[in-house]
Amino acid sequence: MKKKNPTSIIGSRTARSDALAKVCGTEKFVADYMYDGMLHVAVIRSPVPHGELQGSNRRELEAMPGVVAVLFAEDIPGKNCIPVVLSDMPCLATGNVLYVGEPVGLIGAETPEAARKACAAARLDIRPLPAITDPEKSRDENAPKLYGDENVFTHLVMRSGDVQTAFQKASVIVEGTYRTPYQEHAYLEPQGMIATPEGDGAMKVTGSMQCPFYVQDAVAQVLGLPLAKVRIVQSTTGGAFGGKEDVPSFVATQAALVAHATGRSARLIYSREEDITTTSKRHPAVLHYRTAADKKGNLLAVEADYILDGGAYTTLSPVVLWRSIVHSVGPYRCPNIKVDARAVATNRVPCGAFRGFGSPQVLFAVESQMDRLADELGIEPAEFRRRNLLKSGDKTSTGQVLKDSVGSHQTLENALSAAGKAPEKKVSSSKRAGRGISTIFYGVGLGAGGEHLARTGATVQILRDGSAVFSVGTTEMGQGMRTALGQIVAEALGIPFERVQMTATDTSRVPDSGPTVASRATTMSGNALLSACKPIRETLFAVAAPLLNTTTDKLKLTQGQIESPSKTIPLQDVIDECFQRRENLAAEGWYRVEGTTFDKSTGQGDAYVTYAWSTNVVDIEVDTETGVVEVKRIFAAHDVGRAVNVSGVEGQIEGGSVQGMGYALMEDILSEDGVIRNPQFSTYIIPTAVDTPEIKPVIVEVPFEGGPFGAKGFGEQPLMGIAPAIANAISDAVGVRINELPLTPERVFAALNQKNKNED
Amino acid sequence: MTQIFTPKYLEEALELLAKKNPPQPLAGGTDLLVMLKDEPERFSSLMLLENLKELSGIHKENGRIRIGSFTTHADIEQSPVLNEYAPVLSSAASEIGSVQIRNRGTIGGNIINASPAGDLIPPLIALGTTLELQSAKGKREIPIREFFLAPGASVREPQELLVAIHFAVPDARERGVFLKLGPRKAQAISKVMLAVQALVHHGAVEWIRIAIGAVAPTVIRAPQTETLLQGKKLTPELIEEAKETVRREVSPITDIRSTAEYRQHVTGVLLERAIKSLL
Ligand SMILES: Cc1cc2nc3c(=O)[nH]c(=O)nc-3n(C[C@H](O)[C@H](O)[C@H](O)COP(=O)(O)OP(=O)(O)OC[C@H]3O[C@@H](n4cnc5c(N)ncnc54)[C@H](O)[C@@H]3O)c2cc1C
Repeated sequence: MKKKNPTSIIGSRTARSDALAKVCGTEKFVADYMYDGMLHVAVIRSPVPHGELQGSNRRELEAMPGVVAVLFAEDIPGKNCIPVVLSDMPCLATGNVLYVGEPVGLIGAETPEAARKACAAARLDIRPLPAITDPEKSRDENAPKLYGDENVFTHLVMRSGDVQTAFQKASVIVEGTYRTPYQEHAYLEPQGMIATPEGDGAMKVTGSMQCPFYVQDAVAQVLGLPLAKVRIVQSTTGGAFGGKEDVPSFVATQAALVAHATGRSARLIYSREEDITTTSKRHPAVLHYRTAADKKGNLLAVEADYILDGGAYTTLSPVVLWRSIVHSVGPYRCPNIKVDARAVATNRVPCGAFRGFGSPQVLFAVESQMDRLADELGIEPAEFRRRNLLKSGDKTSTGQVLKDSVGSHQTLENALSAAGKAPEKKVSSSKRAGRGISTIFYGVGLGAGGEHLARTGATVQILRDGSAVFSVGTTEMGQGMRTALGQIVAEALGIPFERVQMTATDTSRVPDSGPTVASRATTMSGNALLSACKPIRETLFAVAAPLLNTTTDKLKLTQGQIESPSKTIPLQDVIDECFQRRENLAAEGWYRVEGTTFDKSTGQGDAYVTYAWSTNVVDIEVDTETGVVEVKRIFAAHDVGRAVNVSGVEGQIEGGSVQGMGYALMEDILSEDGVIRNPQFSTYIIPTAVDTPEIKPVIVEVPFEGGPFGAKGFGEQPLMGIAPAIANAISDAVGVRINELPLTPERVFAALNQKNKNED
Repeated sequence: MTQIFTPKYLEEALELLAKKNPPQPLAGGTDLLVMLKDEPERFSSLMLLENLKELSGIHKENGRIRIGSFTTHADIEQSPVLNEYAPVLSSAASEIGSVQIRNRGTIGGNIINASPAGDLIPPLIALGTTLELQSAKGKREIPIREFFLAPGASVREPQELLVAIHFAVPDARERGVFLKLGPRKAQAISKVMLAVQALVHHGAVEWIRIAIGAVAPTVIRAPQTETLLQGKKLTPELIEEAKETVRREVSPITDIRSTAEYRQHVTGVLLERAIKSLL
């Protein structure tokens, strides 16, 4: 192992620079801002899942007290579309409405109450049409056609080897159908935007978001403005988890349309109910899996056919589906593969990005199948995984040869040794303990599915007093990016972390840097920052060399000083000298990813530049009389390349584990006929602090050459493998296997009942 | 705009309630404000109860325990008197919502809200509580069993305030248990909860009261199960029979929180656990 530099801030435990203000409640969010003459926006939405829009009581609404603007599709000055992957989603519906809650019109009013009242008074004249509210019926022949001839947004395949022969030769085959539900992001801060018209016909939009450049694109298109006249500024964002990837684009256009029509600032803040009913969620999935192994416990073949419910418009479904298929065999060597994946259309709320991005669904099936195979073979689940887990030099399911930074086996062994001996099965007369495991991987960054967006910019500047300021195009949303990037700049320039400041992310500061998704911010912006720091360091060295009577190649920059082999000089002296000589201590950086490939006809290629790896060991207790599952301990090992901020990595592991536990045990959006029945936190149940088990983060560091200081992105990974590990633990504890999430007491109880009946 | 009244004395409050459009009383607001968020103009006026001294305090006097209706869940949870004489009530209060909710929410609000899942109601029924209601016209006392009509509805008249609740100080040999099953460990609306107050002597039941929430339109007693157990020794067979009996006495529904079948099953499990803990 390489020795770590003890004075380095990389790999330290650094408190988040934004933590104190958030904990003390002094941080300002978009709903805390007011502008002179600001209007309040409310959105008129479709009450039906499918219908033909024929008219409205627009005149009446215009005459209501306090109402300043009433806008429908015909009032849009630019293109009526929200650009995501495709452009099928309108900003305001025309013709047909396709889901309950689809935006149809906008109210701009003097007060929030007036806006809400006008919205409630809106009467839409809609001729109802038959709706698809069950994704499994979307491809039925007689289903109404919402998208193309088959209601399929995207169909992806993965083919390798010869599945048919493999199944004939196999010693064991297991087959199952798995179902996973919607998951709501449940960020603390709901969606919100303020649009402010600026002089010269420009528009500024400030709000809660992950991807300012997506928002810029959408606002420019809908208002019919050049990109140059649209400026997007991120306000402090109170959680996102993928829910603020594409959705802020439509929230921003809604506010901007009112601002544009009235020439006044316009603010739109979604209520919790509006947010839960009308914004994206994790795609529900139905997955059929057949998996085969030989006698010795080698994985032979995976055959899978699954659908994701995309909802009414494509939004991000094609790329979510792409990530899911790349992860659909798990982190294992498997010579024979046949996978068909489809994102289907329904008259339900469009689904989108959510931590894991299509992979938690397939990993639930894959890791359940792995345990069932191990069981059939009579091999320990951990040993079965050990035999099949990818290592350096192996080929992934997409045929990619793995090179550096493959910490898969270390996560397995370290998680197992952290967990130690499994607890005794019998806890009390009614309680049984169980242990479950999952091994998973995560393709870091956008990969071949989004290579066209895989670039980032940054600017860095050293100021006269030796402090530094930097800007990036990626966003802080509570994940700790700002702190990790501050550490990277501090390390690269030898400036104390406390004297390094990040500016609010703003499209006018750096070129289009793509989205803040795919666990890419630390690595991508980190690399762009290092590229910006490079010329600054060169300037510092060029100025310092003569002062130290040496040449630049002999110099080293450490905290607060520049060193030659024989002498050191305070960094501040060099900075003073630079200012004296009018040298430029500001620079721009740029980074792009190259070399990912994907063949759509076979699903083969070098899908991602690198992968993060993880093993979860979960101990649970099942109350056999009530079906209640209590998670006692989670041992979560993650290969992150290099932990830039150890506290940040641990925070991501803890938060992700709890979010994964919610997905596994309790979170469930109940949708009936396309209507969401539980759009509140009193009925959409997420874990509380009291439900949180003991979580033991185990950090594995196998450096990734392409990342800043060896770091890889991994923020999504902690959620991804928790649900199957819990399902496997239930099976270990009480011998029932439940193939549908969430694993509620009602389901566990029903399964136990069934088992008892079968045994009688 | 909603008008807000802040009476300083009980008479003043009762006079306000005697008017044509009586204001809606607001105690901790943990139920009312949730409702007002969706319907801000539902009530033309509200009346804050926080200054009314007559509504506060926990007292043991003349063989009775009296709890003012404005007493918070946190005060009930931490009351030495209640922890000693009525742990069935203080333990139920300790499981309500979160710290913040327990600091604001009151026993009066929990009762008047009349939810079948109101966690304090089964313990109060098990303790044989009497409610003290007062209007400008006078006072009346009603046994809590006769108070609830339907979800959200009770026999309280709009002119009446719930002033206090009281129950006889339980015999020192009595035991009480409250068991709650919700969708998570805190901040949870019960799928089923159950309170038992009983006197068990040498393994035999001298008397028992069982009240169950979230399994019928109002919190219910389980009279057949109580009769079955009355005067008998608690054998495993009897407990098994009690489980079956109580499952027949409840009529739960399937809703977004749970299924009828599950609620019915768990009622039996909770009863068994409660009875065993009395032994
Ligand atoms: C996050 C959250 C979690 C919760 N968890 C639980 C839980 O676990 N268990 C549970 O049982 N409840 C729970 N509740 C519901 C609520 O907190 C309780 O029912 C609480 O006891 C209500 O009391 P309050 O003082 O806040 O009532 P308020 O909201 O002030 O009033 C409720 C109703 O009672 C009326 N009222 C109040 N006092 C009087 C009086 N003296 N005379 C006449 N009418 C009166 C009001 O007019 C109103 O109609 C929760 C609520 C929230 C928001």
